[in-house]
Amino acid sequence: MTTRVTMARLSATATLVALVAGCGGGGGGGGSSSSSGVGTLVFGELMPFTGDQATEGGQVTNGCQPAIAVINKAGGVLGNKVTCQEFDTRGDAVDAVPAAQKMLATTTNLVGVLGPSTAEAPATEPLLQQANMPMFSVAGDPQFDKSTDPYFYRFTPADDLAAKALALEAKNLGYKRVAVVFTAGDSAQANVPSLQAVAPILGLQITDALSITPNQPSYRTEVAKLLANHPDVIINEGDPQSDATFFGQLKEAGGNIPMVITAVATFSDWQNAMSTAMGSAVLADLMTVIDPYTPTEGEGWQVFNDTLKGLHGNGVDYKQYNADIYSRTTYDACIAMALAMTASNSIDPKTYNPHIADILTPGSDKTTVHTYQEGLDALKASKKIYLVGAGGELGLNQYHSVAGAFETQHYDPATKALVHVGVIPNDELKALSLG
Amino acid sequence: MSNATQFYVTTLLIYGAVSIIACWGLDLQFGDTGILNFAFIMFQAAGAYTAAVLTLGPSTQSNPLSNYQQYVFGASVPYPVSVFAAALVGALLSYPIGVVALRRLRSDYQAVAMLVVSLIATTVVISDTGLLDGERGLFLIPKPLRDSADTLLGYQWLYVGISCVFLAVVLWVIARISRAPLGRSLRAIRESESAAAALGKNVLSLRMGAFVVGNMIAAISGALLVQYIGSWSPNGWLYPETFVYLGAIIIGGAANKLGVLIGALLLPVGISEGVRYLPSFGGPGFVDAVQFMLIGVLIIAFMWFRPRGLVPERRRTFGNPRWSFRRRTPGAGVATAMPSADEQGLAG
Amino acid sequence: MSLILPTIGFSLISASILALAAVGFTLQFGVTNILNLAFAEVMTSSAFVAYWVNSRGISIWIGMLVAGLFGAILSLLINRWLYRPFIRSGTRLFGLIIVSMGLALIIQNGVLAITGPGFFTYDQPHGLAFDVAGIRFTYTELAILLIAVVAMAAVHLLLTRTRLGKAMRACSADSALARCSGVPTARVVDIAWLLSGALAGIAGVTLFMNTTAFSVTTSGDFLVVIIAAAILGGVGDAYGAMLGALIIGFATEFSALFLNSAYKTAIAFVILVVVLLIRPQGVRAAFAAAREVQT
Repeated sequence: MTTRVTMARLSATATLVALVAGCGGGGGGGGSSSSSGVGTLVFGELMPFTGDQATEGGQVTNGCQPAIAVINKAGGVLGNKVTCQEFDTRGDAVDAVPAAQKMLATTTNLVGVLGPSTAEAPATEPLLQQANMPMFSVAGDPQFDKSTDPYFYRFTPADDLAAKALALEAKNLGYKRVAVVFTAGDSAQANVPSLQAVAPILGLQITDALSITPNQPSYRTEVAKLLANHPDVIINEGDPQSDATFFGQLKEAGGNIPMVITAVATFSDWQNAMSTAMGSAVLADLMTVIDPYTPTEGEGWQVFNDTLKGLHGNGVDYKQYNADIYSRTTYDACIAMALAMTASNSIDPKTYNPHIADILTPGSDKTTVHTYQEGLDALKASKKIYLVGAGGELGLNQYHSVAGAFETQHYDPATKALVHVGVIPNDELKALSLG
Repeated sequence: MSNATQFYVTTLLIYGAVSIIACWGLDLQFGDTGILNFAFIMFQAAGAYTAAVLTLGPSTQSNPLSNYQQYVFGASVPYPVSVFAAALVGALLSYPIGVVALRRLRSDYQAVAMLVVSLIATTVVISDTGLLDGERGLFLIPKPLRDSADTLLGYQWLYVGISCVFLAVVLWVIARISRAPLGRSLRAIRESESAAAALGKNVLSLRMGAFVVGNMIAAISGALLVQYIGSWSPNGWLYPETFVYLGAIIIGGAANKLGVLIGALLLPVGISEGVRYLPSFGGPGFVDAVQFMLIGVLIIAFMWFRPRGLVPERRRTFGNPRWSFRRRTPGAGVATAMPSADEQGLAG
Repeated sequence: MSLILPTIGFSLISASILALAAVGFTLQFGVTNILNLAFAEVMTSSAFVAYWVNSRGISIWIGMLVAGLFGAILSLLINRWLYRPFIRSGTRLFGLIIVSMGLALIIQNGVLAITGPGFFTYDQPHGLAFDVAGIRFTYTELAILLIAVVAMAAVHLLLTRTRLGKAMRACSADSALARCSGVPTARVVDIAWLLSGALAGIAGVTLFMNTTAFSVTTSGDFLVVIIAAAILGGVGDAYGAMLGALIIGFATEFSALFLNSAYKTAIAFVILVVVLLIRPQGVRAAFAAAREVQT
């Protein structure tokens, strides 16, 4: 039995009975139009907090928590305190729909949504749009690349861009023969076709495209098969267990092959597993990590960093998330919503939503602000503002999506952390476009 | 009631209806006939995928719905043909599996064979992404009869109505089967296969019949669910989901339609939705772990205190009208429908 | 193809881990007829006990012994405190499956609540490798192979050379007849649970050693493969389980070699279905009709 027994796939409860009993009139107004003194405002985290994708929930929590700390310290939003609340989607659409409906129905003063994630975005995005609820999704799926939903925002790069960055780095490192190893499922589906499409453009030859069954006790045969084709480099994404088993056995089989790994390698769980399996020196030697990038610098990031450090413990993990792009952009999403509410003098999402994109778009007439407090001061002085927060300049396009650059990182065995090596700018990736 | 609350309530009602339909289908196999179908969730999934690909439209460049996903057999059939097609696929899929599993295997082997079939199906769907869009799954599945309601909220209530219609139809079908001589034959097989065979019952074809009808009902529940939520992927039908439905039936009371209904509302939903309201404490993941432990404890507690379910199967007695209000007297010298402790297990 | 010989070697390693677990599963199932879905959680909790021991700086091999002991006791207590009362109060096969499902949820999430989510690693020897007939095996792999062979030999001797073993086989074949012949079935059942738990504990540690990184769901993912191996050989038959483990070990590794690695376990399951079609009682068909549960 696994914890993925999604017990809550269907719904009806004691609360249901109570709700039905209390159902008389129907209709009625939900949105509040007053602006101050309404109570605590809620950012709903509609993310997986259990199951295979639970780490994504952790990333969002570590963005929301420092954001509300900063906002509340500055007096809240229009005189109201703000808070984060978790709504567990359990990583699949069937559970996500009631979770989203429950969030919308039972949360008083819900002002915005952090999420949804890849697996549940197609099912829940229409519900949130219908409820006029701004959402900051981490779904890299191509169908959201050109989303026309005015309430939909995506501060992380599209999946196919990430795959291109992996291939480009393999070429930049001077390799020709590439083996592609992904766990069967989402990972393989999001990356392998893009890699296969872009490889010929870069002059790379794919020796093997393995999609491996995750969590097997052994991958010795797969490893032997892969080695027989003599690749120069392996491009990979996998969960900590599968990768540790695979690369541990690769090393024992005598295959010290350089690796280009996706953002999974930024997690300490993954690093610990892999450094045990391969030895940290070997890992440092062979691995390059490709991760969505904005520089960890500037006043906006500094405030995020300091706040996160102060909150460390009880679900907040400073070391893990202070440079995490998802946590940082989630933090920015909260700050942007708070400033948009202030700018429009309303906590009604329908009213304040248009201000979000405005605050995140540069302009010659705008004052650049880096923190919530700066933003409040500028707005008080009736200035137009442009927010450059913990995630740096986001550069939203017309679809509320970011373009996205990537960084290359190496593992430092001494500090057991990744160190920044270089940047893959967005232009180079755009140049790889196929049409 | 605010709009958002109505959305939540209607969602719960629709999910509840789907759960009840599915549990009734499984109970026809398990409670009435004694088949342990560990692949049940796969038939629900088959119905869901069928309804999805038959409404998404052809998988071509010109179809905007299919732009970002891959699937086979795309078409746009009118409602409720998609649901009937789902039921048909459920039936067609039942035959080869039923022939393998029901024909010769002892019941625990049957159970494991089905479990394994369910896992094979999951692996194939995840690995062969061209088939049903792999683990990412199908999405943008159109809502049937959407134009019949002006607002989305109105549509929610319309879909509650549609769900209730299906609920009623399924209830009618299983009640007919249960009350007809056919139902008695199924229960006879459950009690003792060899005795039923000795009385001239064609055990295999009767079991096969219950298996097929139960799986058709599963497929209908899947179609109903997928056309409401609009997306469907392998994470929604992992094999442990079957255990949840089975647990619901046993907690509610196998072979009792009312009991199964209560179980279907209680376990897959009530208990697990209920624990969502626990306050947050401890480290990350701690509350979730405690929630699932609590579910485990509740299952065991139900099994201990109400081993035959909250509403046990009725004693069916000769000359006792089915809907009589006469108080039932336990052990009144009539044949009990529920097997005695010694008979109920793997008696062969 | 030059990869065939190594693949035979890898198949044996996979089969070793599987055999330890499948024999443990089948001994208990054969004697008691309880389809214990919590078996994988006994593996998990025992292997985490080994982790606790190991993280105190004690050798993982000692940890494995402790895990075996813990698994044995846990298994015995599960039967004494949970299954036996349920059986005495009249719960039978289907009900017991649901009870074991509840138990699996409790144990797995109990471990999760204590350890937290995430991945763990043993402090185990790495990097030592040996060439055996041209195939490179690690120290751990050879040790696992050896442990499996020793455990299988011990089970064989137990079943054939001791009165207890004969009693167990008698209970597996026909417990009512065994009881009539004066076999103390209650004690045999206790021993079966102890033995099954000990093997589960050892199998859990070997599995975790081989995967290098592990979490609370690692062995749960493995459960159906274990059950498949047990059924393939004919449930209740320890030799059948060994054979089943070998067949599945070879099937998974060779399908990874010649077919797609993503279908590795699916192929093993297809083989199970096909075998059941041809031989409904499993490969070794000595054990016929289903029987009553035993306390």
